[in-house]
Amino acid sequence: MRRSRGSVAIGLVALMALTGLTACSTTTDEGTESDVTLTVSRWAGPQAEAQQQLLDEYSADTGVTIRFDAIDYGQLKQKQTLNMSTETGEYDLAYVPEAWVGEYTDAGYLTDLSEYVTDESLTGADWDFADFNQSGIDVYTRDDSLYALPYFVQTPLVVFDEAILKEAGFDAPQSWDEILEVAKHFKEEGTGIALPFRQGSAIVNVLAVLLAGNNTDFFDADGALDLTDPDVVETVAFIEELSQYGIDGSNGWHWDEVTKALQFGQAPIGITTSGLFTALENADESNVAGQLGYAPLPYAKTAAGLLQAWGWAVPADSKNPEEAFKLGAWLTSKAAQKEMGTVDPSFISFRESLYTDPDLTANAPWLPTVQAALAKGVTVPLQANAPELLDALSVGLSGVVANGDDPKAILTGIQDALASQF
Amino acid sequence: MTHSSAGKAITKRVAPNYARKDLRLAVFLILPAALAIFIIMIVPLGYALVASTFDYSLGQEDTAVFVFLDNYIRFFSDPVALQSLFNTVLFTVLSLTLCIGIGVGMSVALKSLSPRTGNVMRAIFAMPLLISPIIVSLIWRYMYDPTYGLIYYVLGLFGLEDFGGLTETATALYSIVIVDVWHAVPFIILVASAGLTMIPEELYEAARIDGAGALRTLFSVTIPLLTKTLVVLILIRGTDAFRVFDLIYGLTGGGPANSTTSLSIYAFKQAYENNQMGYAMAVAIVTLIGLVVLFGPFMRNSARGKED
Amino acid sequence: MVKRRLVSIGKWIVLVAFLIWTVTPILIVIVNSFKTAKDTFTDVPKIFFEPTLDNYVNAFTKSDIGLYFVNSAIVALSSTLIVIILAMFAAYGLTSFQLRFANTIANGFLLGKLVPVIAMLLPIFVIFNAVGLRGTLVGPVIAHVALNLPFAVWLLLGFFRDIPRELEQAAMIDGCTRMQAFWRVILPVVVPGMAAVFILSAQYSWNELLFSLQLTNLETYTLPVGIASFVGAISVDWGLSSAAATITMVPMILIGFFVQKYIAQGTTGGAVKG
Repeated sequence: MRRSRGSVAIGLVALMALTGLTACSTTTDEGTESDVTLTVSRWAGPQAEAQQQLLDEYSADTGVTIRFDAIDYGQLKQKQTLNMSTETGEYDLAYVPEAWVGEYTDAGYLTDLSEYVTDESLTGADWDFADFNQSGIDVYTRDDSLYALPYFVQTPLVVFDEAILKEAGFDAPQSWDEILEVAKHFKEEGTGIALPFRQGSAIVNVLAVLLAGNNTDFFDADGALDLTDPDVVETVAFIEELSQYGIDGSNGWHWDEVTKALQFGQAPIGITTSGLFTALENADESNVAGQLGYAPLPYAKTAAGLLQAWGWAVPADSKNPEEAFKLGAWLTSKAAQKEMGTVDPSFISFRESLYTDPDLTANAPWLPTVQAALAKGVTVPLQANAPELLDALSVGLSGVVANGDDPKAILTGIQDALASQF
Repeated sequence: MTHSSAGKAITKRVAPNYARKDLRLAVFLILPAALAIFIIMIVPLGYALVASTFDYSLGQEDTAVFVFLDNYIRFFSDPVALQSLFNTVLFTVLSLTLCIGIGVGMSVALKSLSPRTGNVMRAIFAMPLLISPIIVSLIWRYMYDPTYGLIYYVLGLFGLEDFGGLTETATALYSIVIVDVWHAVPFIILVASAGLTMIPEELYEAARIDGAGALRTLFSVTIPLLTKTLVVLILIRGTDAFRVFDLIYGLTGGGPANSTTSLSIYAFKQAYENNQMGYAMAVAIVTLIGLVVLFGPFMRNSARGKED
Repeated sequence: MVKRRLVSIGKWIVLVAFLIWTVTPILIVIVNSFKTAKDTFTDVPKIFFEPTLDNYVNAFTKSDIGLYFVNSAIVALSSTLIVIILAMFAAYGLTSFQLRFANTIANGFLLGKLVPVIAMLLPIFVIFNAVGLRGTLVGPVIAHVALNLPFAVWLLLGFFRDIPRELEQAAMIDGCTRMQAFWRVILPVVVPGMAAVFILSAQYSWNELLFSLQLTNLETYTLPVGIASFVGAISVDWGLSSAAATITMVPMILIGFFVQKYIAQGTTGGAVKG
């Protein structure tokens, strides 16, 4: 073993050089290319794959090179905030949900798009800004400025196997009592209703829709937190009762597990989010394709839906804001949104004209139901301190369904702890 | 020049005229590692300490408010925070005890096999550690699922389907401990196996001649001589278990009802969901203090003994 | 006699039980990678099914898994080698020179391990961005080195400390310098420790996600980033992620098998006795 310090050192240097060289040769050099390079940030998954197609089209048409950075959802916010707060200029177009917009705009991360949307040279002549669903625009507007283009919406719906329900003598459940009856029936038969009642965002989303369906809200008319309102307590009590008929494991399920239970026929009825519906109707992947019916979440007073939105924002540190906006406008144009909906049926846009488009409805039988639900579309609370409230609610609700905690006690506890912040 | 029959190292003073050259050599040897740790870890630690005395959100540093120890007071008055501290300590103690117990036991058992069989089995036992934590969470979540999971299928064969698993507050944390043990025992086995090679054979022969059975040999010969290795193992595995994040996040997200939320998950939520960086940093510092309190005694013992 | 037999049987039962417990989840991942989605989600675990290679084909066509593999290999290899070299030097330096502050320095190393990751991410990101290394593979390499060093140094500290001084003295009396003694006499004795550090550092770097994702970009992502991207926002692609996981597992398992004999290798028995 006659190794000497010298050869080890040389080896080390060679290794670092190799690393450096590889790194250098693989990073893009924006300076020397004549075309623009845009980097897009979003979460990975089937929708991202569908989107890749569209982006390739755009590249081919305009010559713009697009780096599509679709990563693990769990890391997305961290990566976006790290880059935007350090102003690295890495991202030109960022996929942002309604829940993050408040924080991003407070921190000054995003570019004001108000001027761009009226500029036809960037949007194209028949972009038709009025065609956007107004609540989508509202969700991304702060201080009268628009900070993102609404792109994709999803809402929780009740999904059920029509044949199985009919056989048991049930129609599509609408009211609280109806769904309790259906769920109880199947629970006694051994299955039950598939519910996304894991400690997390899903159960709070369900609560938000149910509150809206009961004509109530987390806050009272003056904007103060009011969780001890009898209508709110009543809604949480309903959740508790429904969870008793949940299929085994529901207390640990998120949207994904519920969808799988529906998809593979383990659950005859369940509550899941529209963004996952594609797999349900895909004959290759689903045991129940073509057998399913869709309904808004059960409501005591009016059908309601949740505006869970994703939109395209231009980070303030982007080096090509106008080109980035052009791409965003193209993606949200009627033609591109329709194409996206065709490639991925559970992709629902904010374009009013497309809700009744027959080509899309043919592949997405849930579209009319979504439109009906979103007629009264609400969002989860979006104030700056909202995340703390949402987290407390998710923990509290988890306690209600898993531990049998008393709804009123839980709500009072959260109310007392957080009322001062609103 | 003497050495004890156990082979412990005895130092001997080196002649003075080598001293300075040696010192320079020593510094040269230690410096690179020390530098790496200083830049990557100690500097951020300082940053975290300072940041923990402010109330601010990431990206909005210009609106930061100096609150001195308020974040710490807040931590100790928040029941959720205290719950996460409790969960973390419980998790660490359980996981560590099981890991070391099972790990050392297995290493000893492996040593008694023929080298080839032992090597093959050890290689297989090492596999769980070599798998990415994301996959560990994924596969165990799948296995723990009451509807599709293998665990419930097997439990069902014994009529035990009522097991709460990951969905009940009483059983969730323990279910996660089992996964952590599965994932981390290989680490103990690998290191303990290496440590066992340093124990001279004559000691085992002597014990056998004295008529000691397997268990007595284990406790009077093996474990005392593995002490230094064990201390290192407790330190490393213990501090890792205390800082557990990916595993719990992937399996339950901290639920149900915060029964599995650990300190690092709590800190992550404060930083990136509730957007309160200052408070998150304070939680991180509390975690560090917790680690020092729990494992400090081991550190002091381990560093001594150079001149035994 | 009977007692020894019973102990032996008992030992084998325990070993085999542990083997089954260890291997089952891994087998499930590998088997799932050959299953379609329908076969993965059945009420009763399906043992007989029609295997498909679709998941692997998709892994290679739908993502840059080939590139990720190469990046992972570069990062893991570089960081492991650097860790081993730095750690063995540091451990040797701390144990063989009777430094007064050896204990303090050793504890300082461990302090590094106690720093919560959440506190590290932002400062490291800012530092690397400032020096222009963001997006390159150097970021993860250095981060992994720092993350692995504390345990590597402490592990080797234990081994180096147990080496009898006579070994070194004998070599030096024979005319070696300190460093020559180190390479020729000390190192061979700590091969098991080095082997353990090797496999443990390599696997940590190979499987690390956070820094490998946040400090890099599209061209420098590693395998864990690829796996994570198949674990989507609201749905998990089981087939794809199982296939990606299997691809990620295999090299480490192979290295693990290879390294075993060094871990259990005996010391230079007899060199010191008498």
